[in-house]
Amino acid sequence: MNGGTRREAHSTDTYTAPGPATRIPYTLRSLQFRKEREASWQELEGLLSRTGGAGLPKLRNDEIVRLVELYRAAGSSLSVARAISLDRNVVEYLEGLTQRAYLVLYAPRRRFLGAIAEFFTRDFPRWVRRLRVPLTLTITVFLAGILTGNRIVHGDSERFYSFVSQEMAQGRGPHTEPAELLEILKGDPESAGELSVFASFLLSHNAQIGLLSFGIGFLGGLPALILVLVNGLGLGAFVAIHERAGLGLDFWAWVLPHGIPEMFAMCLCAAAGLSVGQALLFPGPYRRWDAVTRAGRRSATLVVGAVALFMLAALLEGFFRQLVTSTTVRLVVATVSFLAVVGYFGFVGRGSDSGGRWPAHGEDAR
Amino acid sequence: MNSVAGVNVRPQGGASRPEEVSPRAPLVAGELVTPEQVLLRFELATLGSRLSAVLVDTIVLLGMTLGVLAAMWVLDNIFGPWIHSAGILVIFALRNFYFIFMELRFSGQTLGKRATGIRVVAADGGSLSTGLVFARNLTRELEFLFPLAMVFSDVGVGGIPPIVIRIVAVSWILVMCFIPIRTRSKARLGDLVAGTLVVRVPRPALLRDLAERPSPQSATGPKTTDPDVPVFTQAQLDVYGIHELQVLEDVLRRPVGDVGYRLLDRLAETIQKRIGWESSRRHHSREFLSAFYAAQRGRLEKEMAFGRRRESKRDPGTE
Repeated sequence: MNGGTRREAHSTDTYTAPGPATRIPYTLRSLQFRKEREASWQELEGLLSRTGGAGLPKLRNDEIVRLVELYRAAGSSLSVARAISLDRNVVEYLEGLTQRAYLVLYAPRRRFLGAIAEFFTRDFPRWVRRLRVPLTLTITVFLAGILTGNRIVHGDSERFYSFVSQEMAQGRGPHTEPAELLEILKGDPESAGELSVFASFLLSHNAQIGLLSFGIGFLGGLPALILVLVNGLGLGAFVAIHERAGLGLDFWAWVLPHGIPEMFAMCLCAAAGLSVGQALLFPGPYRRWDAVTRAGRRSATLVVGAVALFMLAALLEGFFRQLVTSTTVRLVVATVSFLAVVGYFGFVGRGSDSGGRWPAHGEDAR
Repeated sequence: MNSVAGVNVRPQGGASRPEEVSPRAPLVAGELVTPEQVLLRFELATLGSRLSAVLVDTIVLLGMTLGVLAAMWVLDNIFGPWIHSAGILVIFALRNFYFIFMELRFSGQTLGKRATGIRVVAADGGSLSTGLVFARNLTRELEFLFPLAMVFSDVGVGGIPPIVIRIVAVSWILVMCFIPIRTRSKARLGDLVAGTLVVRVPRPALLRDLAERPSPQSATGPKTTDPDVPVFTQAQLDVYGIHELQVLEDVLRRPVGDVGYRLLDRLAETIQKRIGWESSRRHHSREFLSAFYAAQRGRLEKEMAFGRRRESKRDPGTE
């Protein structure tokens, strides 16, 4: 590049360091630039140091407005400094200053509790509605699992043990006497204290399974479906042995009040996992990894909602089921539970839906 | 790719990248573009600092868990079994929501991150939203906690013997540990999924501009009002490039006691020899270096304004 020759006229200048005013042949542009802007940088730094770790709330309104102005100015200073200045300290300082202002301004804006409230009144049901396709799939697989498990155990009752682990069975099996089964279904109101321990154990156990089924969704979605299917088979097997004892309705009354939120939450976790797998296989207009992370973010938040459902289920299972033994009351509560799930996921937060289709919540809560 | 169509685009130190940066432009690890379209180059948190942060948080969590257990043990006689269920719930909440709560409440910092001076930011330059925080922390379960529980569990699943499960769990954990070592952004799986970065909290200070005064007052050297401030010709200023300038800046910014006069003398001598500088008057090394710094910076910045970045003395640059 021979650009240098063109400027020979200038190049005879000698360069001297800027000394006392009389001897300055020119000023460094970068130095001049710094002198013009330095005050605003320092003002920004002052505001930032006052926010500490707490973020914006420590500042008055006018200071926040000023902070935004100064942040933009610092960003533009940074761009200019990168282009014209070779003073590394200035560039690094501006980089850090802009970063700090950015971190304060783009920090999580909502408080933990506020975020949770907003989530349950708006985002959660809305996102569940968006997930209706994978959700329909997981619920269908789950129901198919129940039906299959039920048929198989009716055909050969020994197959019960292929679907239900010892831990789950709690002594129940195809050879258990109907009276004994009924005893378990009736529960023991006296033991409510211990049951609360049982309930919280169930909660962390179930929720952990939910989180897991979401987690393995990243492996393409298939394992999540298998997990749902296995759970369906187990439930179907249980139904079968109770039906053989003539206790079919009593069993449903026993399982459904807490089972509806619990099974729904499980299907939801699996569906969330599936949607991640779906994004992996069919990224649509996004780059593959971007599609996965988008789905991952949305789904992870959904799973938190599912944990809340598990919590509700555990409360119903640990207390209500043990304290109320009437099959009729249990069936009524199951119906209420069903309607609550339909109502919540079908209607809450609809106002903020962006023209979404009427969701197929008939399947949602079956 | 040092030079594309005659324009140097090497992103280095304080060097400038092409001005038009769209969110789709491939960014170097740690870089993000704010909604104001300013490119910020964050320094990624080192693996060591992240590990220490996790250790601190783990100790805090363990401490709180032990505290809850102790409380359960103490209160057991008063409240009966109910306290157990409360305890189990609290421990469950701690395990799953400690990180989430802290990162939301304290702008992307847990106690451990605060102690090691790092924090979480959204890689897309937007706000660190609730969803990101939840996503990056819930995956901890999948990454470490669940496999870790598997390692210590004796229960076989579906007829698979426990030893096989343990081997699978351990290798899973190893793979998870390997991800941050291998990825450019030193990201955990959770960071990859959520699209977050863990960066060092910047704390730079604005120092005095070295070009402003020729030299600080030094005990032995001549006063700066000396009219014989060194003068350089353009040829002398075309020897070195930006890299050398910034090394010089670095040396000059250190306290003199730190560098030692001998190093300054040697540096000045080297430069004088290299650029063929002669003077009737002998300048104090530091004064010479400061003057050379200012002149060199002026020259290089002027060149830069014309679109020519001379990165180092080896750069053929504008010759």
